[in-house]
Amino acid sequence: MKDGVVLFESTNKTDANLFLKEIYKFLELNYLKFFKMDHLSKLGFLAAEFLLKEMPKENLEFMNIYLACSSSSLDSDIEYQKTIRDKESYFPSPSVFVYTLPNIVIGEIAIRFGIHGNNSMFIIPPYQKDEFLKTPNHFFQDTTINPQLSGYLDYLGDHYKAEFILKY
Amino acid sequence: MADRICITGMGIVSALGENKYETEDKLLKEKSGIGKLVYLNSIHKEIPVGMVKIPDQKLKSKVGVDQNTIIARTTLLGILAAREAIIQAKLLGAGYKKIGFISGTTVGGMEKSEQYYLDFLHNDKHNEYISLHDCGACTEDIAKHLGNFEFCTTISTACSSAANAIILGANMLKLGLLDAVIVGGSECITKFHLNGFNTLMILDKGPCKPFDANRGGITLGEGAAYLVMETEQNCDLRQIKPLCTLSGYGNACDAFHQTASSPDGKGAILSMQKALEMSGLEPSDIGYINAHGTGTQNNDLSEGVAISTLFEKVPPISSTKSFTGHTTSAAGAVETVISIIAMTHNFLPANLNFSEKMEELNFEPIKTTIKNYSFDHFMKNSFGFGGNNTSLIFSKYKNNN
Amino acid sequence: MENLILELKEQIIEVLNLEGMTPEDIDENAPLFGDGLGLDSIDALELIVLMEKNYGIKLDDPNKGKVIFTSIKTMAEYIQENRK
Repeated sequence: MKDGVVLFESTNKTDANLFLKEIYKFLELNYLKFFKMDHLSKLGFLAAEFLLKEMPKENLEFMNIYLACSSSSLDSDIEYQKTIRDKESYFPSPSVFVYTLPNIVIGEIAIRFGIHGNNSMFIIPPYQKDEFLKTPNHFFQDTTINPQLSGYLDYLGDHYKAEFILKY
Repeated sequence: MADRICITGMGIVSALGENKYETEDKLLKEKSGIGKLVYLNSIHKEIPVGMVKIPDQKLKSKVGVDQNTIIARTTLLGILAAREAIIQAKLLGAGYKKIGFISGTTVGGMEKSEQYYLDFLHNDKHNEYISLHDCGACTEDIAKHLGNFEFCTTISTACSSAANAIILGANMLKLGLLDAVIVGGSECITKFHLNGFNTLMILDKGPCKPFDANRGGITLGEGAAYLVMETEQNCDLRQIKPLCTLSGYGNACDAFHQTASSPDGKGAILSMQKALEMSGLEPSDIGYINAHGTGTQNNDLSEGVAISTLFEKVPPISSTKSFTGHTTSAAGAVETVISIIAMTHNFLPANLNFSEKMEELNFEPIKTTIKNYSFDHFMKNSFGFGGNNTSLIFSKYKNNN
Repeated sequence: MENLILELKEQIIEVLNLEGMTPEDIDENAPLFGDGLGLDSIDALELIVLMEKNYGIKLDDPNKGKVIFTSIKTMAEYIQENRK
């Protein structure tokens, strides 16, 4: 959904991973790094893509990104833990470990759009989502007039949500 | 004139000791806290780490909780450090209505989840520890043991978390949203991230050698540190003398790679520039840089290049990760407190284990502690995975009246 | 050797999440890093894990990997010589 309008709806109601892939195709993206990302990063990346793809590059360079989530990187933590929990089959995965930090999604968005502004990731309980999204830009002290991408996202197992706002 | 952000209290727990005094003592004597892995049941016993040399049992006694209390190590370290800061700032008697608590952490209560994971699967004996796992829960738990807060939140931006907590706290003070704020971070060592960094092959087999040509990577550490910050106006009102001021800060995205820093250090240059701009200082005013200096091939080169680009004459610089190890989410605060101790007591902390200059850089770090050295401003760099670059500038408190 | 090369291609596609690629798309002599498949440093580390997991070959020095992982062919040759 963007600005209250449904842009894409999947017939697949169960597989989150497949849903994210469908959105990728819907957006006609050609960005193979997408497939190396974890679920949280894919979710945030796609949400940002909807909002930022039409923006001129100059506007993006010093955009600020402030995101919040509730489950942190738990979805990836669980994946990583699988690679180290068996003493007999102990093969920690470096590519999964990279995503056991919730702020990597910001890094992925920044890399994609060449963004060098302020950025931070907050861990908040779900009930604080609306309050977070309503927080004015100057709370984060942007002394210059730069656009800001605020968002709440969360991904754990079959439950996922992303709500992003672009503020000028 | 804008109200200055003042630091009125600080607390620190790390491999160097459980408070500021032990920390200062070790810094002056060049005694590193890096050593063997203790208290953690890991197969990687040979990897050196900067552990806080206090077992959980003793930590519980020190913070005054019952031995049967279900509590994470990250929380215990956090309470110990925050309390030291609160006591120094005489915060309890300040009569403030709105105090905030902003803490940086990534592991939260994970070390308990690791310990009891199999129990969770097979029995219900340790289920109480499950709810501690969450980062947010950890922050709330620390806060609960400290007092009532108007505002409490967790920042999780990897190794720059605590530094970003300091920035948010300062912003909220400037907006008049809080009377005072306690900011910093806490992180304990876990098998999870020890294994993780090991699989990225960025752990040094020996103690880290920041900015050395033969550096082999990171030495992990654990610890917690917090600052009490309030406006100068509030300090005047309750007649408390600030330790120093936070005169500038900056944050930027490097936008290069998920874990590696750009070769030209773009994000680092931006964060340092923003901090200088806010402080109104010139690069030549900075008397000391406490670098992020992890000891990896990548960071030290990228950060070194960024510093060389921005500073025509690079000031004295060291990475005190050679003393404490890399305390990850707490690093920004641990190393800030170390630097404030150094500025207040007029010495420059050494960059231990350094012997050979990096050929790509035109500077060397401080090799041994330099005593009786006064400086008025220092810069603290804190760079996290995800390309999150933060720089803070602190200055000696000089009364403008 | 042919089997090993095909096997490696399939494993790499899976482990490195090379979406939409098939073994036929990968030239065994083409550089894996840089211009070739455009793999990065994290991918290199995953290849090190793959070698240990699937072929029992432990590589402690990531710099050695630079030579071994030049192409699928060099990787296969190394595995052939050193597999347990």
